Amino acid sequence: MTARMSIALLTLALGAGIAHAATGVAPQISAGYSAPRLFDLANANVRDGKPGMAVLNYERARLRAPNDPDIQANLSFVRTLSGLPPITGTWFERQASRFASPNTLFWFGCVGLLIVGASLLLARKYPRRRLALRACTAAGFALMAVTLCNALAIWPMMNEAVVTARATPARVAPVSMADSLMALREGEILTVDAEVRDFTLVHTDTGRTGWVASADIAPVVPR
Amino acid sequence: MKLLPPRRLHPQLGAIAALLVLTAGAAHGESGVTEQIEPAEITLGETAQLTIATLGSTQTPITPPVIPGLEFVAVGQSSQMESINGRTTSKSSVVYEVIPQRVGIFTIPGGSPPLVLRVRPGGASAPPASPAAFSTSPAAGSMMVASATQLTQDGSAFVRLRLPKHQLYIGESMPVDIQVGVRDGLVATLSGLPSFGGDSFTLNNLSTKPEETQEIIRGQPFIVLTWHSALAAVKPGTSSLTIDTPLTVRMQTMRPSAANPSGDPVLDEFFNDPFFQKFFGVVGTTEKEITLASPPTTINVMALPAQSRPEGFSGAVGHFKIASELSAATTTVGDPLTLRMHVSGAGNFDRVRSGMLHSAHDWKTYPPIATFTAADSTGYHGEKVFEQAAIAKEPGTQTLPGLAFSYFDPDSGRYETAQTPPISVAVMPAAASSSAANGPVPNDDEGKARAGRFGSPALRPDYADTGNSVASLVPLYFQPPFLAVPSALALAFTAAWFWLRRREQAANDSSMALQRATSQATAMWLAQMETAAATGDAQVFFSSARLALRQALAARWHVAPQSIGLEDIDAHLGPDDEDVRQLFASADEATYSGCDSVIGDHEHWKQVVLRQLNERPTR
Repeated sequence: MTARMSIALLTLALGAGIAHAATGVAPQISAGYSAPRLFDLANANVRDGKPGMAVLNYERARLRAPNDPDIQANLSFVRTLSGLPPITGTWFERQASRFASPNTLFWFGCVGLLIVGASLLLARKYPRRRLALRACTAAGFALMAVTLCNALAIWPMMNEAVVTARATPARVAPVSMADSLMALREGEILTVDAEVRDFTLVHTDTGRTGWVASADIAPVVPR
Repeated sequence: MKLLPPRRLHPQLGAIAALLVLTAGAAHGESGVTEQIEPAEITLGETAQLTIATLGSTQTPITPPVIPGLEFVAVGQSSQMESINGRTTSKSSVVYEVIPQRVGIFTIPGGSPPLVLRVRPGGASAPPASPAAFSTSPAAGSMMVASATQLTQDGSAFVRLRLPKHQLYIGESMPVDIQVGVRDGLVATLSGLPSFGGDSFTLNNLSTKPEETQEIIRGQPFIVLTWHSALAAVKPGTSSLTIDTPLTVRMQTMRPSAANPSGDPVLDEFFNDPFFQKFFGVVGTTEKEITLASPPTTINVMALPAQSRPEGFSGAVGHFKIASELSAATTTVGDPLTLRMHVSGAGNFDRVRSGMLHSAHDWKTYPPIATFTAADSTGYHGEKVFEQAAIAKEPGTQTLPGLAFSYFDPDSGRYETAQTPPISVAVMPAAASSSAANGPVPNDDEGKARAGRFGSPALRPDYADTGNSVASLVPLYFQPPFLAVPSALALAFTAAWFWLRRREQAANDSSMALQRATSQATAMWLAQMETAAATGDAQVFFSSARLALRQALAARWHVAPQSIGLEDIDAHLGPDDEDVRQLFASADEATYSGCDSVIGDHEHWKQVVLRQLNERPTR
């Protein structure tokens, strides 16, 4: 009786959560982002001689399909064309973002949580099957850990932006008359620190900081 | 300690004394002021450099000499102090730029003998007498010549232009310094940036933060704001250039007053005193917007020669050097390499353009991308890097041809073409598996057809849209609505876990309460047995003993206590428990016979009951 009630309760909660989430996004799905669409858009940008937009769309496509070799190859190609250094990242970032797309891993994490919860409850009810249920709990925790690692690896990307204009100046202050500190290359990936009016405070991989016109950069993950 | 003999001590003492005298003399001789001027002879429009240095134990302030017809502009200052054996020596020097305002021979006092500067006729507007008179080397060309300093009528400000030369070619850039000198207190603000009218020249954007120095002009301190920029000529001919600067100046005003306010000459003198007038506000200050112009400077702009103009000339005028490099010495067919051409030097970098390689046999090339890095704030010196992607079409040792860049050298007055050597590259054949890695390409022919259509063989072809799209690129675990799912799950499991735990606790609590009640009842029955044994009431004694036994056996057999009878005793207990059977029989006899029974050995019966109570109940 107890187990039945728990399952019924969980099913109700899960259903309610999904229903709530789905109602928030359903109207926009028709005009959304897909890896093939972003990939094709990036290819078109390369052919149009817009390496900044191409890098942006390849990066977005990579977010949807992290293991796609074509996206990786074309992104490397356009970065080489633009004179940008090859894609790097820490070992953790490379490993944690290669399993699957973040959205797939989110559902993996939910399933992991479901397994952990159910196995812990059943272990209380059926102590003689504790060993098998503990194995299930460990498997559930592993799924949750993979999702968590993926979220940690993806998190810096949430504040990244790509330079979409040629020779964008980074200035000392958020005004167009301020002195230029450096010229940013088109396609260069920056980290956004703050935004003031039409300017964005960014820093590069090498740690150099400056204000750039918000119109000259585009966020990798649009909010 | 061994002393030196007297005959050898005397010469040493003499030598030390002589050294001390010489050192003192040298130290004394070092004190003073030295002056040096270079060159000693210049043409009007050029400048000389005067260095005044003081050396000695006391710091003497250095001031420029005041000579009519010469202007001294401080351009550098150094100060050095050293202490040797407790003796402190200081050395200070100031470098002045000497700007002549007329032709003549000028004597600069202070030195011994006094310095002489000869200023020959010539000047800014006059064309150079010979190529040698005009700057021919880049180093000489970088020397700035200032226009004459013309102060405003009230002596509060000036604007002047410093140019390295006065002859330019169309398109040529040259660094210029625009200097605005203001007297502190007399000029309130700079209302705008310096600018010039006309369409013969263009000026780079001026910084809002000019360089700030101090200068003494005609004995008055001025704050000099200097903008470094680059001027480019766009029209041929002789043009006059004037820099305008809007300023807000403060002017002292005096309120009108009667000549003899009191009628008493002594009192009038007191009231007309400036201190009195300023103290009581009779003298006021007002601000006025003025536009200050620099003295006109004549610049001769020449057209570029049409003869022997190279084919790839893009309008670059200056002094440039080029170099080329390739991103790798080996590559694979189809993989892009980056060919870079570095153009460095001084000149109009905005006109430095190159198409790099237009067409090379066995190479696929793309339009180059240029990046300019300025070496100074004006952008006159720097380096422009052209990057071009090149893809080898055929394996083997391939050669990328040398790159050429044409420019006009304003010093020699000729077009120059710089060239880089060809670069050899080892090109490997493409791996057979590379086509397999292209993913969605169903066969090689289709892949080639697509690549040909897209015009980029290195770019992997487009995908067919599967329609599997999402509304937002923000991962679901960062979207608050979706975070409700794991949150709800976690809450539900936590709630279920607590509910189960509470239920188990409640079950544990009821069995504990039953145990406590049973223990209390058993203790009561044992006490009744003691009392009955003392009074000899066999009926109460055996009845209490049977109740205690029933309680113990009911917990062990999981049955109701009142249902236990002799039949159950026979069924569950073995021959070792004959005492229990006898106790039940005695209890029945005492209850149902009505006659007085004998308790007998009441301790024995008590032990029988306690033994059964101490037996662990079976699960």
